[in-house]
Amino acid sequence: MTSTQAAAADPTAAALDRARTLARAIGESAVFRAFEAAQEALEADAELGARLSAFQVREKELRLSRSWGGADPEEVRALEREWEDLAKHPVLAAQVAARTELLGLLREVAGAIGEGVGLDYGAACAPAGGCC
Amino acid sequence: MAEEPENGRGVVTERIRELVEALRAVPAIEQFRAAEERFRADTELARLQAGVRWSHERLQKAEREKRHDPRLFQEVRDAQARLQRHPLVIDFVATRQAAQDLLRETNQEMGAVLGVDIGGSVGRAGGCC
Repeated sequence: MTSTQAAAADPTAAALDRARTLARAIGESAVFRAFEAAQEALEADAELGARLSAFQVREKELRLSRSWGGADPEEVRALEREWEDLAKHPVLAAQVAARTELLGLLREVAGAIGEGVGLDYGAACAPAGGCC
Repeated sequence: MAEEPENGRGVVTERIRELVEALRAVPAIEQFRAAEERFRADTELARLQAGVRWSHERLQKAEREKRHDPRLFQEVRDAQARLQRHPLVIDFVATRQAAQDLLRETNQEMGAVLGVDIGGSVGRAGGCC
């Protein structure tokens, strides 16, 4: 059976096969490779990892306080300063830049698929939120 | 084992085109696109949608003027119910659901290969009818 015949016999399977092919192409893209390298570098830096973890814990606590209306503005500013300081770290800066690039590529992919089929890809695939 | 060579965006663009073409051949997408076309072309539906907007605007105006008229609430609900009962709307909603299910399955397939949830990365939670 040729690939055209196979696609005609089961168009859903053919589409999912194309989806896997696209995913492999994304995985082999320069943008994705750069992200993987930046992520690996970040994970290999134990000191930076510890600072990031501590930052994330404080951020989570502050977000919780904010949701109760009880976030201390001084603490918020201190956390912002901490992030500014962290973001200057070359390994983290590289990871953030690579992640932004990758997100740009993924947005392009999602946008093109959504436009092609007439649906909002992100809204269709994002975790469900509730509806009227 | 030698690493695969890197792809440029052109390769990704071509693979997207192939995927879109394949998705458009799946009955769930074909049926959704046809239902959407019928939905947009129907003048009766356009009239019902205008009716929903009109009654909703009347309700909002009354609220702005601090007039609480339960009949206006009922008008909005009735107009929405008329719209939701229309066979083309029922068809549109059902086919859209099936098409969205296919997109989610597509997203899961890609996520399994890539290790990244594309829809979750770019999507916004929520969405509404």
